[in-house]
Formats: sequence, structure tokens, C-alpha cells
Amino acid sequence: MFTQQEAKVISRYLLKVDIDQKQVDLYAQTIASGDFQLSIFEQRIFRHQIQRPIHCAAYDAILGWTHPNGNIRKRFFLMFSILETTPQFSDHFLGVHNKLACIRIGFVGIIKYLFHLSLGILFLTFQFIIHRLCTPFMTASS
Amino acid sequence: MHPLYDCIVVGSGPSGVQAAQTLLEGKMKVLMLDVGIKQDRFYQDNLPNSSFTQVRESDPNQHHYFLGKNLDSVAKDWQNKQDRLTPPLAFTKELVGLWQSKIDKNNNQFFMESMAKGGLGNAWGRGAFTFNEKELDKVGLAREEANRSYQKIAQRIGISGTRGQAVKLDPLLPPLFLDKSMQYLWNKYDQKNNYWRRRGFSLERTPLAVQSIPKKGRQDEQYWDIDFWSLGKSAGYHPGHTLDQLLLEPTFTYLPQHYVFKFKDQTDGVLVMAKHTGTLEEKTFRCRRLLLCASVLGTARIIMNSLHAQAHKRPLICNPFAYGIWLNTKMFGQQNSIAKSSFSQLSLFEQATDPGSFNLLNLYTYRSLLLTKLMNELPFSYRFSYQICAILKEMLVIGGLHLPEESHPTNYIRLLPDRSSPTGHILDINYHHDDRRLKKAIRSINKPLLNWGAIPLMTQYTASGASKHYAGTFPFSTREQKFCLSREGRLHHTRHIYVGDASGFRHLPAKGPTLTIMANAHTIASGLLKNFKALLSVEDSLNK
Repeated sequence: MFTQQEAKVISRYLLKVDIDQKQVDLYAQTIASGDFQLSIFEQRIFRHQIQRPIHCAAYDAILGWTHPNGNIRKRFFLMFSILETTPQFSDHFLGVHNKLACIRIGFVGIIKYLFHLSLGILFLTFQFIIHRLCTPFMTASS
Repeated sequence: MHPLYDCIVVGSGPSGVQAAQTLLEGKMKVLMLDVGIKQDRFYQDNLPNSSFTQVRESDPNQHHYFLGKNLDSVAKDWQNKQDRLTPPLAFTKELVGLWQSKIDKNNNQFFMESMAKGGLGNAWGRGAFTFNEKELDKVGLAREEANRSYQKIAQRIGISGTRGQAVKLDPLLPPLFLDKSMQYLWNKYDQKNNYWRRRGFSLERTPLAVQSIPKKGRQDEQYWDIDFWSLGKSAGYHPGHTLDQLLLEPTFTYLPQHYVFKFKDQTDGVLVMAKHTGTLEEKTFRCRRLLLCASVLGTARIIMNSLHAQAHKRPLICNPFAYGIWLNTKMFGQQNSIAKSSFSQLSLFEQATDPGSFNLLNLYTYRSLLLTKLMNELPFSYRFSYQICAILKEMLVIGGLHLPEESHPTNYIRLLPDRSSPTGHILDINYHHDDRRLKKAIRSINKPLLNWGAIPLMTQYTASGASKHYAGTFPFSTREQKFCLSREGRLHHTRHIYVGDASGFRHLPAKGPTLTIMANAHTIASGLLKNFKALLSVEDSLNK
């Protein structure tokens, strides 16, 4: 169930599109068969991203620098690959923008990215502190 | 015991098939031993018969070949930035880890071997360069013979391009069309070509083993931009084409699933020992001559194992290689040609410090790489990376830079015993190349590119071995000395063992060596044929 929800949240974050059950199934099957396991710290972050989609961009921006090869990035990469090879979204990848649109998208994109990166630094630091504080209790209880 | 063959050829790569063809033209009875892993039927059956953009817009099952069966390229191989093999071509390196184990102490090497039908030829970018006279001298090949053999191979496989620094052959097939982005670069260069030549740079059409016009039953280039996904349906030559023709010859036998690991050179011929890769059963074959074309590392394994030279160090040469991305500013807000080829379109030569020697940058516009793969190179959020790539994709120019390389005493291979390997040994490769040479070459090559409106975006310095061009393990020598080859390709201190791949090359120019490897295999097979005919006439006269 969670995998279905994450597939939809990630695709909405990446391309602002709603995907069919076929793409959800493809995503879920690949997650189930490959190495996509998340560490406890990653699970905490990923849960936040999926339950609060508005936080997706901030965490994604900072994880690109701190955990570029982590399995959260890998899950996003998987969904991106599925979207790129789905005919109904081919316009997003094959279409061409005119010069003005390129400048606008680029400029707005940079501003948004820097904003998300700053938020991401704050969020990740906060999550890291919480994780360090909680770990002794989790170890003791387990 | 199997019947006596005139010649056993080991390996079905570019050198193996060309040598076998020459031997068969001389009516010899030839056996080709090969592991011969074939392309997965799944990919053969699912490969599209239309252009890249048509597939992307209409095929609901395109993920099967763009991302691999079970999306393997994402699930298992997502951080692999070295071999760049598309899922349909991944069979090129199948089983290699099991049979041909290597030591990589620091996990910073990428020496590729292949046990596939067609060998490393499947991963070949189809660049078909000829070496100039100085390069041939340094490599250790005779100029006249090499030029004759180039001509012969060009007739067999078809080479498109224009005569120049990259290729000196007549006649050539017409060059492939340039797409819009490359045409801009070409026009900028052409406006001041004398100026750039004086500065040591020349830009040429990349010579390609690709049919630009239909010929000999092979289709011509369709400009579908799907060449690296669709091996069988591409106009690009690959060794499988020749092998399919050879299989029609009555005196040719092809035995796949046989891993050759040893030979015994005897007075009256050679015993060749191979293991069946399925049953692990050991078999012995007999022949008058053995021609090793198992690629440089594969051939080294067989020779060192046979001559009990374990732990003996052999030199290894490999081109330093880096690839980079440039932005062609002229393409900002424009769409590149829909009909285009995926192969390299232009080759930028830069005069190296050594006269007659060049650094070489091959340029591609690689739309069919998919944005997915480019996104993985960027450290930004996926959303932002997607936006950047969507804006820049038509401007992207990919370049692969190769530098010439010599033999260095610190770069060597040796064979060590290993009980866990089915062959009983493991290859220890000690190789280091200095990235400073690559960095200097990139800085220098950026000058003309910037002038033509191509801005450097990023450069990736690859691991040692990533160029897939290897040579020099048993260098050519005119003196009879152990572990060296004669000009005719015979392994010194043996009677009947010949080597037809790049093991004898004493130097690797920056130009891709595949055409020269095929030409050399033809030269060696021709020599072997003459030698063999002389032997038969002596035997006949003795019998009479």
C-alpha cells in the first residue's frame, strides 16, 4: 500500500503527473525484486517525504549532495526512468521549449532549487538530531 | 580426440572472424572455438523496428529494452558509469566475472573482457580509423602490408567517411549526414580551417564501419538514432555479420560454449585444451596451426597458462580515456534533427607533443542516451535536474577523449593461481594512468570548442581500462625472444602458435584500433596461409 502511495507521490513531484496502475505495478515489482532497502535514518526521511509531499523537493535537494548514492535517490531514479519510458509522458522528455521559456524555466528553477536546498539543510539537520536522540531508546527497546 | 584441423581460431571478435575469413578464402579447414554467448532472445524479439522518437511516443513496452528486462539497469546497475552498455548489449560481459576473474585491489580499474559471440566487437562504437605511417612504425606493423590489409577489410565491412587524418582509404562509402548541432560546429570550423590547422587542430568526419548506402544484403543507415540499442537492425558492422557468412562455408566449424585455457605446441602440430562452459567437461582438439584472437587479456591468460609463466609480469598498454559534456550554444531553443545517427559524427584531432601523434576527441549528439542517464551525473534534486536536462538536451554534445599511450614498466599483468576459479588462475592487473595528461588535453581541446560555441559542462575521468583499447602484452620483436611475437604474428620460441589480436602492438595511438586489429589479423592469416601452402607442397613432394 505504501509503495503505491510513494509511486504516486514521487511521480507527482517529478513531473506533476498522475500515473496509471501499470506504472505503479512496475515500480512496486522492481522495488520488491531489487536492492532498495532503506536504513533506519533513510526510512525516517522517506516517510516524511511521502506523508508530506511538500517536503519532497527539500529533502531531494539536500540528499543529492549528502546521499547521492543512497536508496532514496535510487527510488526517485527508478520512478523517473519509468516515467521517461512511458509513451503518454514522452512530450515531457522529447518536446522542445523556445528560448524565452528556457530562460524562464531555468531562472525559476534555480531560485526554487536554492530555496529547497536551504530548507533541505534545515530539515535534514533536524532529522539527524532527532535520529541521534532516539537511537539509544530504539536500541534499548529492541 | 577430434579430427585434425588446419587451423584453430580462438575467439569470434573482430580479429577472429576476419582471420578465419582469410583462411577460408585460402581453402583451409578451420575450427573456431568460442564461448559465444548470444544476445538474449528476449531483446532480439522485442527490439523495435522504428525510430527512437516513434518508439518513445508509441511503444508501451519500451522499458523492456531501454531499462532492461526487470528494469535491471536501474535495479542492479544504476551507478555504473564505466561501460555504458545498453541493456540489449549487456550480454557482451556476461559470465566474464565467473570464468575470467581479476584482482582489483583498489576497485579503481575497469578492464573489460568478453565471452560473447562477436566479443568486444559488440561494444565497439564503429570508429574505423587507419593509423598513419609514423603510428604504424611505432606499433610495429609493416606499412605496405598494413595498408593493403586496411583496403581488404574496408572492402569486406564497408567504411563510410572522407579521406583525411582519420582514414586514408580509397574508395570510401559516402559519409553519414551530420545533424543540425554537428553541422553548426562543422561550419564554424570550416570558416577558419587553415587557422585551426596551423594551431594543431583538425576536425573531420568520423570514419565509421557503417553502411551509408545499401550493400551486400546489409541495410543502409536509417538515421533512426537507435544504433546502440538495436545490434541486429543497425547498419553498423559487427563481427556477427561475418560469422554468419562463415557458417555457410563447408570447411568451417564453429564450436560455441568452449573456453580455451591451454595449448601444447608439438613438433607436428598443436593440442588445444578447452572446457565446455555448460558441463565443465575438458576436451582436446588438434590442429596444424593455432591462431589466438581471444582479445589481449584473454590471449594473455591462455599463453601464460600454457607456457607455465604464472607470476611472470607482462606489459599492458591502454589508452587513457575521459568523456565530457559540452553545450552547443547555437542550439539554444532549437530542435535537433529528428533523423540522425547515434554514432560519432565528428572527430577533433589535436597534434600531441610527439610529431605524427594526436589526441582525439570523438563527438556525438546522444539524444538516445535518455535523460535518465544524464540525471544520474548531476548532484541536484531530480526535479531541478530534469528541468535543466529538458532545457539543455538539444544542446548537449558528448565527447570521448582518447590519448596515445606507450608501455610503462609499472603497468603490467600477471597470472596468479586461484583454486576457486574454473580455470585455476586469476589475472592480476596493475595499471595506473595519470589524469594530469587528460586534464591538460581537455583544457587544450576546449579552446577550439569554445570558439565554435560549445561550452564545457562537465568531464568524467574514467577508471583505468575504461577505453576498452588494450595492447602490448606480447610485443612484436625482430629478435627471437620469449613472450614476443614475430612480424608474422608467431609467438617466439613456439612453432605453430600465432596471435592475431592487438597483443603485439607496441604502442596505442589515440585513434580507435579496431580496424587496425582486423587488418593485422588479415595480414597474419595471409602469412599463415602462404606458410601453410609451402608446407603442404613440401609434404606433397616428399610423398611423391
